[in-house]
Amino acid sequence: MFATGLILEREPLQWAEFPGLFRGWVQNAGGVSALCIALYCLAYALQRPAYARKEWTPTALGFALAGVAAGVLYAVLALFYVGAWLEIPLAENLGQGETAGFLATLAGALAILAVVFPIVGPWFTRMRWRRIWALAKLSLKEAVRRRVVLILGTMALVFLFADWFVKYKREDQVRNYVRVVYWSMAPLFLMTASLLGAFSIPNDVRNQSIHTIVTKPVERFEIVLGRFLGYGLILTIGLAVLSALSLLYVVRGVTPEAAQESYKARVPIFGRLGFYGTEGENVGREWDYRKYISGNSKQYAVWLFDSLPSDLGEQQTVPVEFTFDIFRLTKGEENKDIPCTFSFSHGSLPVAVVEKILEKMKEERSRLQNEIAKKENAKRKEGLGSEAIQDWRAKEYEKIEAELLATYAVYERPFVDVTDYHTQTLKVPGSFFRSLMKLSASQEGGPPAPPLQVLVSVDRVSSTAQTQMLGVAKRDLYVLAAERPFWINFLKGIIGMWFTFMLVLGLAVACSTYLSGVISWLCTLFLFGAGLFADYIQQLAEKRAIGGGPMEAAWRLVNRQPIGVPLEETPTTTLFTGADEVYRWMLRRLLNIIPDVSRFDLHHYVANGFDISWSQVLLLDNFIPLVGYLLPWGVLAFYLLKFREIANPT
Amino acid sequence: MADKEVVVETRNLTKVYRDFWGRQKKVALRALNLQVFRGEIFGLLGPNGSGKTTTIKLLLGLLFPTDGDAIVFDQPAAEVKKNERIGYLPEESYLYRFLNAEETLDFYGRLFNLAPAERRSRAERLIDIVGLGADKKRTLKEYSKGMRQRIGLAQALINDPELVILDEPTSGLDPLGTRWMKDLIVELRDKGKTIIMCSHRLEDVQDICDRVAILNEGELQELGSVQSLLEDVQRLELRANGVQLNETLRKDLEEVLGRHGGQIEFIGHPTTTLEDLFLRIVAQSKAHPGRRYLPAADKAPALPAADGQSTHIKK
Repeated sequence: MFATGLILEREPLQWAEFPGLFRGWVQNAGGVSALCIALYCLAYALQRPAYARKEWTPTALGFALAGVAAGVLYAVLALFYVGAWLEIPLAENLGQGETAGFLATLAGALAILAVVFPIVGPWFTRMRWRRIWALAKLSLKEAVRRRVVLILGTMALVFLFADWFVKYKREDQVRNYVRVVYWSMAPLFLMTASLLGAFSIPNDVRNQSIHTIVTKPVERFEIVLGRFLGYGLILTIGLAVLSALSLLYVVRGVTPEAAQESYKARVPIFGRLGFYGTEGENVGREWDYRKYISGNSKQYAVWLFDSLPSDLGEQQTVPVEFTFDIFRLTKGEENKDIPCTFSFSHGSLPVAVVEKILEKMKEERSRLQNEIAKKENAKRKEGLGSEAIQDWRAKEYEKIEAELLATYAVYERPFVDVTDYHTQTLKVPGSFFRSLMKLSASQEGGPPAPPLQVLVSVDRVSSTAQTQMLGVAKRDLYVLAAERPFWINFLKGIIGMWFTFMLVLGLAVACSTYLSGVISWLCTLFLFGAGLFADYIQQLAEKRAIGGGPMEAAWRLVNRQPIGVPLEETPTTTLFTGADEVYRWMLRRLLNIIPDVSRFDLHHYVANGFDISWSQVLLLDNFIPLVGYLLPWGVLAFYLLKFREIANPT
Repeated sequence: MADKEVVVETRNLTKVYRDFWGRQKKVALRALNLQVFRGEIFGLLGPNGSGKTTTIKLLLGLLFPTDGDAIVFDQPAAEVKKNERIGYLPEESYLYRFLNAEETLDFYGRLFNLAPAERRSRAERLIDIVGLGADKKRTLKEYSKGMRQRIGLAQALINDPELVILDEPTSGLDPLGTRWMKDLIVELRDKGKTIIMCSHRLEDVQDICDRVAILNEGELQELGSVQSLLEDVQRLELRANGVQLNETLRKDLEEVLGRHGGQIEFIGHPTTTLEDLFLRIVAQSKAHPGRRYLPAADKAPALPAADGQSTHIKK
């Protein structure tokens, strides 16, 4: 028996969410761009720098046109909002909903266009990969010859063997090793990435080496890109070498228990979890990841699967794995399993209908079994041996089940003993999935119903079972579509780690285009650290945290008021909660620049033996957000370096 | 000068250094107006803090002007494209010390987008020109200051520039190196390149510059050809050979000069420069290795002996 499960704090993004998220990105990045343009225009008006070009170039014209158009749209949007605030009917209608959203997106896109315009022109006309590669190679040589990577690589190697000193169960071998690899490599590489990125350009400026570069026909963004690529390359090479070594180490001797548990990459198909006859009980556990059903009344945990691969029907049997938690209301018998019933049906059937079909099937089964019993007597009279009769009966029973399955397309597995937090497998006949596909294909009109529904209930077979509660979560039950090799999954996990390093490196390089080395490094660490707590910051920003903001919390502390009690409305508390609103507004703005670093941590998948999807996890949930986050920083870095007086001591 | 091509021009070029809050710290350059013509060696002279290096940095786009214009090859100094035609040697050779000479030139060659074969041939030629052939595989951190200045000059010439900007090119060089550098600068000028150099060493500027600008406290004090600036029309210099100085000659000369309203200030045999003397001695030493000059025993300076009594160096 083993126990594994994929527990994720946050669901990976779905492709269906992408358009909405992209629109949000355009609005946010556009807002920041518009703010920067406004600040630039203000500074330009105040200073009128002598070095600015006096004539209208195509780039300047593009920047001005897009900037002005964005400004006009933002002004219109502001008018809508003011109108809505003043409750002017037309403005109120336009200031809310789709019109405002469309205007904000369009204005954001134009603002982004304005800031990107001056980069795109030189990018296509003057950018030379030879120069970027020269700078990348320089960074590579610098890191190697200054022995930075060698020292950190050696340290990482030492840490890789830390599992020698950590005790673990045999079945946890792979899981433990993956965790050791992750926790040893990640901090060291993050440190290397942040240090290399943060100190390279400031050191060049301090040593004045950069004077010999910017006095060559080198565009400023080539410097940023060259440094980023160079250090990115050295981190990639280092990570590849260490990953290969660690993979060899883990493959060297996997225990059979660990192999069964996590030395694989399950390709799970998860469903949506809902409940019938209950809303899912809270048993008072601090971690409210699971909800519970009991055998006291008719309660079901219901998983609906929105899509299934078509090849499932071609398999003899399809494994369905589950890992449930058992919470005991009465002591009962220690470590005793509880019996549960698993019913599989098409997602279009309501639970009550499934129940009726099951009843009907039960009657049909019993009728058919009676007929077999009669035939059995006849065979016995014919003088057939008991063994032959047994074989014949088993085959007849199989036929009955196949017939019932073909007729009703509902499959039931009663009295399955569920052990507390252990991964168990049910083999569902492939023919059942063929029936489901046929049902789905024959459906006409309306939105397509989920092809599979799984109902789980606690059997009421004994008095103790009724007081044992079954804890379920969305990812506790899944259809196992396939199993892939561990090593590919391991490398996918490393790619997630690599994304984190690129994020940190990009941040550090972008900060270092304007700030000194130490300040850039601290900024990078601050943003990364804040990213680790992004969920909590979001809770604070969205007023979901209990106890209010800092001012309210301070008020409660001073007045010794518990956080659960609503605040009495007085002018002082109004002032304090108002101040908290400002604080939350600032937090919401800050959230836009905080990276969501936890999304790149894929070691849970690898450690527990779950496949990391190329398209959904690596591409949609990791790569696209990384690019979306780093692009604005890259644009910022371009401008910071472009407008920086390289030789100015201040 | 009207028919000469202007390579560099400054118009009311002004630079004010400010602190983070925008408060004025120092006026480094005040309304500088000058022109540099193709094919000349132009010297920027001035004491420390006079604005020489600021001018050069403004021309290179390393600093932005507070007011006025810096024009190089008819383009604003901030324009990156103009750098394709410029070579720059900073005051100290701030190159990457973990690279060797070959790698350094290869790196800068790539920045000019030179093809690999061209990069290699130029690097080899320049390494030979600057005399670092034997040391081309050593990293720059092992180089002496003079060697770094040489490789710095090589990187400034990797793109075969039309305009070479040299900030204190002879800094850190010994007299031999100084002479070599000056000869090379003149050779570059003879090949049609324009050179702007700034230096503290007046004799260097006097030796090789065609025109100079003298700056002080950020303001242009003097501008013109070295010849015209140094010429003292109030005095007359006469050189002659084939005669020895004696009392009769002196009296005759006094009489002639007196008739024209002048008088002798100095009359005597000319002396060579210390640089010429040094170069001659080094050349002789190379021609006759092992020969050593020591002063005569009776004229040798007294050195303190270990026991505290004085002693003499003996031949």
